[in-house]
Amino acid sequence: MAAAGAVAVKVRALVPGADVALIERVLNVHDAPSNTTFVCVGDEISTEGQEGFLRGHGTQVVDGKLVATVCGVVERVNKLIYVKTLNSRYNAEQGDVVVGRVADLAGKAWRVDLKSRQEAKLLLSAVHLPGGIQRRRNAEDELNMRSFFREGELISAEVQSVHADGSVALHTRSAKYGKLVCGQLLEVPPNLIKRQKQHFHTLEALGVELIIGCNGLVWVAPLRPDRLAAANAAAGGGAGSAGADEDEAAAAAPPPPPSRMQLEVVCRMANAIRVLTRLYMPVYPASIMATYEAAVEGEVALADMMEPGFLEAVVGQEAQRRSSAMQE
Amino acid sequence: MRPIELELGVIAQAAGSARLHIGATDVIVGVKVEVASPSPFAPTQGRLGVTVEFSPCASPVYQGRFGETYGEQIAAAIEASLAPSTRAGGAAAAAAAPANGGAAGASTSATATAAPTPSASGPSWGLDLGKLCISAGKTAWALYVDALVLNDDGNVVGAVSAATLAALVDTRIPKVEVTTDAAGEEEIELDDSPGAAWRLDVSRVPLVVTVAQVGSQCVVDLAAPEERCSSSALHVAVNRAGQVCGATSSGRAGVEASMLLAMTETAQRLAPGLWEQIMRFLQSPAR
Repeated sequence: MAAAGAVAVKVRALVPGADVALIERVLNVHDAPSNTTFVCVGDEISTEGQEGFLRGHGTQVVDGKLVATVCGVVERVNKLIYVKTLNSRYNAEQGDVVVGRVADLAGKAWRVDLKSRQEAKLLLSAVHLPGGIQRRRNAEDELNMRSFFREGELISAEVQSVHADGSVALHTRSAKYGKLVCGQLLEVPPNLIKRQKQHFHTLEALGVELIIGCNGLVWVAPLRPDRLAAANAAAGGGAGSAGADEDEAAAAAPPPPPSRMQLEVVCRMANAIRVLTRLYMPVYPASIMATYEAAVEGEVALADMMEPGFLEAVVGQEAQRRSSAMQE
Repeated sequence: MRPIELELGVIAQAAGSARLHIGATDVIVGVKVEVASPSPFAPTQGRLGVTVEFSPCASPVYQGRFGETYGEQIAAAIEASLAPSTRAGGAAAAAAAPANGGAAGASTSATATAAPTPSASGPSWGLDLGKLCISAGKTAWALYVDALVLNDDGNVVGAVSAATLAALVDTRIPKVEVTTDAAGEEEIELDDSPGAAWRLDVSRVPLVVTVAQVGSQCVVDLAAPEERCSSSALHVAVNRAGQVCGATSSGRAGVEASMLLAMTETAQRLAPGLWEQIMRFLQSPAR
């Protein structure tokens, strides 16, 4: 999106596979290493030196040979051989922080789209009501469900449990979970996101709030004073009655609109994540910050962050990081 | 605007073709020429046909009927911008009218006032279909522009329009000679050598620029998630000189008259620069 009036349009040649070529050039790898770790559909997986094997996911025995049925990395655990795909849907695990969109209201629960195989359920009994008041379990309460989360709204939540049939139950029983407003949502392949201790990041120096959902949805928003208070309260061991009063006051008065500078920081952060996604590099706070700082130091304009020049700089940075890690 | 990435000559069998990326939007356009009989209503002009197809992979909304009807709408808008004499006024008005009654009137009137007056020598914008005539009333070139939208990341109409322009620049039409034999029968000789082919004059082909209304602002080149925030959009065909050659509106809400004017002006400011940039790229020796 560009502001109307700016008439600077870049027209250039379309080069298919430019990103791959760029990565190969900067990392100085020509042709993917023909090792046995990466396989494509139909590639034979060597089972030499093994006395028998267990056929795992993504493999098939054809004419007595083990053959991959998906593209990905070969993983070996004792006798078990399976192929882990490079791109797959999100597999929920208990305790994951996720970002999702409310798809539907179903009885006593919200159905939440997590970009997983099936929609997750957020039970009415599993939400933390604003102000920390106790919920009265009656029909009226169920009718008022839309006053918390409506269809189409974004929420952050935690995976409470994963059932045997693959269905997922969520909960938002903490002040830090809840509705997400006034920010940007980014979609990242879930394989690029590692599970970490912290998935909520408040970068106070920059005034940015970052939620890296394990399901590949990343939320970047300008830091709002009331959210900061909520985060502090949660860190300090649960919101007290004073915190509840503040919550209500904050809900009553809409927060001031973020300044242009703050929005620019948010956009830059979002673009940093887009760059990482495009280069298929892991998305975690350190890599996001490294990319963000590279853009700030290089004085790269917001719109130019997806340009080949900056992508090359990011890959170069990664190459440097790897070579220094190798030396150690 | 996001950078435009262009590739020409992607379809070997076509007379001209182009593939265009804007962000993740992916459009491929092929131009086919063939010798056909001209339409009885315009015996001295070539024929022109535009189709736009959506790959169901582009976006789930294009599955089934919606993709077809939407493709037809875009095709009508593009065809109107290429050949004003055939269906321009009618198509622009017809497409705009059902969407928003009152504002549509304003849009068509804006078209009428701002449009350059047609001169006797040929159409004032678009392709000169008169040049496509081989033998008056008997044979003429038929030009088929087929666009395929492979991926939708917003600004599809603009992408199709720009790709069409590029494909038309790439198009080579073989030279033909009409000889009359002793019996008075006209015979057509086709010279297939590449050197003898001629190119279309695209200097008056307008570009369609989509201006969307988000809140009270008008913006151009929206990505797919951003498009869902816009209340309405105006597709304005603007030629190289910044003259409006047609307008189509889409979207859920109507457009206010003052907004309409602002949107048209935005398109008028943007299009000439875009046109020049694309042509400069197409004519650069580096390509």
